Amino acid sequence: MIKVKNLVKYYDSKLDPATNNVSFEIEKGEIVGLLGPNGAGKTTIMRMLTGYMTQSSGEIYIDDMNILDDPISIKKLIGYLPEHTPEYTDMTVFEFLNFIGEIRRMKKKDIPDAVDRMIKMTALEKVVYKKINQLSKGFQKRTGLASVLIHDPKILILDEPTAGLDPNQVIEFRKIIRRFAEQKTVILSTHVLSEIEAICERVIIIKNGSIIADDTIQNLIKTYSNDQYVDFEIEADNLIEAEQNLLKIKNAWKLEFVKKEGKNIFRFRALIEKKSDFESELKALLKSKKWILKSFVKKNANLEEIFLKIGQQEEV
Amino acid sequence: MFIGIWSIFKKEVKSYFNSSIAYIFLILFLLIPNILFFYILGGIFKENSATMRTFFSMLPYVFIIFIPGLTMGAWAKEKNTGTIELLFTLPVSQMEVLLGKFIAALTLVIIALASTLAIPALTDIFLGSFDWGQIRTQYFGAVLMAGSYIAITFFLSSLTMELINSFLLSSSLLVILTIIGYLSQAIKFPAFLDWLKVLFAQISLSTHFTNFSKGVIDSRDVFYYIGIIVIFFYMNLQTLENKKWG
Repeated sequence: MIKVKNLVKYYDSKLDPATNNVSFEIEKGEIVGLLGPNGAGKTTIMRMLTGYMTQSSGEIYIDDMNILDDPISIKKLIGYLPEHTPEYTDMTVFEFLNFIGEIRRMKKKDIPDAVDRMIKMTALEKVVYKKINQLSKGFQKRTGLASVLIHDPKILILDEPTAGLDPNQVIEFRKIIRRFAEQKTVILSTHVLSEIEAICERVIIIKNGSIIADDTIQNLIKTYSNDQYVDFEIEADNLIEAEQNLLKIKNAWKLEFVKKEGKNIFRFRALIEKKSDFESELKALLKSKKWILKSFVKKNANLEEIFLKIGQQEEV
Repeated sequence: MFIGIWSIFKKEVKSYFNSSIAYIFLILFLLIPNILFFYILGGIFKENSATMRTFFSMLPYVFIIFIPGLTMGAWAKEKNTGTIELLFTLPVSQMEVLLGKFIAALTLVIIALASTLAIPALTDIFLGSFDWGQIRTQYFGAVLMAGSYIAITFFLSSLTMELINSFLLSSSLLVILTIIGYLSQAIKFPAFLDWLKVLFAQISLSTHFTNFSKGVIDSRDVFYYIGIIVIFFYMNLQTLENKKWG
């Protein structure tokens, strides 16, 4: 569906390129996250994929068409939501969606149904006839999402899609994206790791304009992490004594108190090596102190830790 | 191609009226030239005949303020609000967007010019008959001249993100291109600088309107204004294309 070969983009020939030899392929139905710190080159890649900018060198093929040969046909296949959700804010939501439907060359008779469908899908019923500049950030974002989905694009490209939304809006937004992504290709960029974990199957990590990792989240975790987090609750005499004794366990790093769950019940988190015998050491300690283990859950290291680790490896 | 131009045209016209620019433009355009025409410059009373020559002769100067005021946001506002990214990721070419915007601005100027038709119409009824052939030529010339002013200000708007910069740049260039025509006639050039006098007269936006304001169509004037529109369209498209590659 999308093929990118050796993509290079210079904004200024005297400076380092914004993207440097970026290559990847994305198949139909994949949800891919572009992950990287601010200024890594994510937005530049997206702008080149959507035809807003032209690459200094390299090739982009979308649906087997070279983007430089037929940009208009390629733009018809794509729905692109830039980070700041640019909209004509002096229009009402209804006017804006109709304008987008028309300029995207949808059949005139199909536009009213498509607008209705999008309004329902993104729950914009209450604000349809309000000017966009009177809407909250969340509604503006939903209007933006409705406008990029209205022509039923094959590819959806979202730049920092949940930036500026409150937690409830983020959950709703993710639901809509997941529903859409069932039969389509989605690329989204973010520097929020939980965003990638919640929506994407595959992640491309970018740093200083280059790809430093490209794999599924599971594979990345498998490859890069020998560590696990352990969340556990104990019933002990008091917090200070419990903490002092737990710190003596050799195999636990970064042991930290999380919160008090009840009378004399304390929740801790520790980072351990997968092969370590932390669990047996903990149980031995509790037995000697006559404390009780209330819960014990192991979790794989998250993407945040892997992201930091990959970044550090690259620097080395 | 037509759908793209039509969609942009409708959006632009709506935007002019939504932001009240259109109302301000129309009201001021109706008031100021008419006040100048009837009360300050004398107009038809001074000419002692039913003609609008005075009105049309001051039009190049009136456009210096009015047209940049109307078009300063053509690209500058799109860049400032980020909607240029939306616009150029839609399946529409730069030429379609430019034409849609150009026709929308020109339409507003045509509406403003049409509103001044009340002068000859009322004069025709109460004071004496107008030469309608002359009037047609004058309005035709005014539309062509407005087109060239719009093309110039569109190009300058594409160079900046700020509305005020766009306005000042446009007004300044239009002042220069208009005033040099006046200078070529008003100043006595030494013989060895005759070429400069000719050059000023040839490139000035106002000189080429002189014939139109008298009711005469000279094909050189028509080609001049069309040429200005084509040249500044080309430069505008180049600026947008350079931004894409930049």
